[in-house]
Amino acid sequence: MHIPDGFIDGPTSLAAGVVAVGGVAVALRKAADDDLESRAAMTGLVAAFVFAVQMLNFPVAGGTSGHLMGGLFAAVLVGPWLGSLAITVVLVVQCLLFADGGISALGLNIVNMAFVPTFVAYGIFLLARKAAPATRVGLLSATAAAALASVVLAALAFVAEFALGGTTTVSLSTLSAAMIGVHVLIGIGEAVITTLTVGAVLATRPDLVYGAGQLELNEIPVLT
Amino acid sequence: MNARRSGKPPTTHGGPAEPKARTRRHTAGFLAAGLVVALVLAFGVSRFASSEPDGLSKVAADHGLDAREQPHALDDPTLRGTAPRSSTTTASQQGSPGTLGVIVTFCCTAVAVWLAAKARDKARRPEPAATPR
Repeated sequence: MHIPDGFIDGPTSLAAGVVAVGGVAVALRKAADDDLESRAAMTGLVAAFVFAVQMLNFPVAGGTSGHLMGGLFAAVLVGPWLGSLAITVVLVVQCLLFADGGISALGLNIVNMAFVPTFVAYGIFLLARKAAPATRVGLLSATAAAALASVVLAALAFVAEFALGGTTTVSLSTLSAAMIGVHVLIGIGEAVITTLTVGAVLATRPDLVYGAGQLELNEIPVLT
Repeated sequence: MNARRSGKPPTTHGGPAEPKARTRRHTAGFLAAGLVVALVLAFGVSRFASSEPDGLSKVAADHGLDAREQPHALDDPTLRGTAPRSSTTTASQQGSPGTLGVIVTFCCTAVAVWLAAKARDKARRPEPAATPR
């Protein structure tokens, strides 16, 4: 999902860069309300884990692979503000140290992979969490649905950016169908990986799952 | 044992600080275990990852979105082998840079959040009252 240089024109990339810088500033200010000292290492771990799992491309249909995007995963574990910062650091490290994702497209990639999943898809998670039973299964079901949605939404964000500043001429309906088709499949993988990992943390340290919030999760064991 | 299910209060073996210290130790252990898992995934498991193009790359190739793709400014031969998912990277080349990436990402994120906490504390600290002469 990392956009390389040259796919999207300069003005659109620049605008996305401005949005990314502004978004990071807002996230830093909003995150200041959290208990930052105790969450610093956990946020680092979430970022490191997402970096590692993004290396594990899994095959999907038709000679295509996918990998965890991790935004929703990060938001469920450390909250949307710190989660967006964690994924932003992952993308910056991948871009500047590993030549993964274009430098001019860094803002686009931050918007698509850090902000859309942690803000928009996390909103879907909150709605689904309210609708689902206040149990571990309910929480994980909401996580799975939002994780799947996060990948499709990021794909749609790319289509919107391409509509604004694509450097080649491609029918938007064709592009939308192709992007949604393949990213629904990748989203299923995202949902499986996210749900299994959040479930594992929930089973061992439910107090470290930000997305569990104030719900009476009566099935969650308590560490004693 | 699930304390909430059993209805028993958590057992403590010391003063009031004991449960807090124990939780801190558990958290440190959890973080260390998580970091080890991330390193194992990056170093060991990543070499079994699919080398097929990812979703965007495949759509771009199929529909010609990549006609004006430009090479990455930092993608020189010495760095190319360190790209986590580069098509030119062999499995054995991928592990060590991935391990480095995990460590760099962990440190950068944790330090950034810690610095944000310090900046917040500094901003919230009240100005010292002027001493009367």
